[in-house]
Amino acid sequence: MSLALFWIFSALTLSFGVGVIFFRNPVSSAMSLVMTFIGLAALFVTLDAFFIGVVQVLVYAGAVMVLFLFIIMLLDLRADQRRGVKLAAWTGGGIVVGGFLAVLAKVVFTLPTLQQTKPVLANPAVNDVAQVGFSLFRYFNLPFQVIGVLLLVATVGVVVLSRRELK
Amino acid sequence: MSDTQDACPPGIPHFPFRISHFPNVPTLANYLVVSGLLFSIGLAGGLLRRNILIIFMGLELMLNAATLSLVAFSRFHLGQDGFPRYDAQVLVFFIITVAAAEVAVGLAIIVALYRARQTTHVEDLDTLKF
Repeated sequence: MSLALFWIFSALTLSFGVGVIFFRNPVSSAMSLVMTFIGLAALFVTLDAFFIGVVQVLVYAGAVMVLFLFIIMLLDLRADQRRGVKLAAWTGGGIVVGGFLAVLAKVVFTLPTLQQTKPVLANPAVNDVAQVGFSLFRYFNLPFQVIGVLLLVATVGVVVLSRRELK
Repeated sequence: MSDTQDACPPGIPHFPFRISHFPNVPTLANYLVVSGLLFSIGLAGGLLRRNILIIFMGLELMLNAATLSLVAFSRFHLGQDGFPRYDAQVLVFFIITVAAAEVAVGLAIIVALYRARQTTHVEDLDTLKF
């Protein structure tokens, strides 16, 4: 059951991920990206990371995708017209991606420690939001404050970037 | 179940598809393969597509692949108390926050670029090309 769910959701994630790359219309790509994020959220839930799954749906499938679709609408993008195949990009991309996948396959399929299954949790009904929150505020309080400043800077930066020049 | 997993006789290489006792729960390697494939898809999108928005979506896919492997590691290597390592999930929380800020700034830059040049194709933006 667990394995079937894992394969269903990873197939969903990966197939829509391929769709992001191969659709010509940017709106179709953005919709595929939504489905990819939802599949990833389901994978997080299979890993008992409920908080991260919910945050994934809220932030990525919600906020980030609305931003993407809004920009696509604002720029009034058409579907890409076909241009010539970039030979250098295809060969370079093929070499880099193929090399990465080869190294990954070698590592993943030869290390015996990666063949382990999920260890049993001490308490399966653990409240992981409380645990993540405790860890966040107890051990990572300073980074949490810094990330607040980062969000503020990003907001101000976006306003400055998208403001029209007044002369 | 993990005890029977490790009791493989020495000399036999660990292949991913051991038919004899195929676990009916996903292993860590499964999650890492999915994460790596997702990263490769994002990387291929960043290298092959010309629309700057699609390249940006490829970047998001790569970030998400990294978070998937982090969460998988946190679940498969429990801490001393028998709970997942929540440090990794806090790190994923930070990654998601930074990614949200990055998307906002990046899309603002793309809008400014479109306003200046009326294009989102990377091949039309070759001022810095040698």
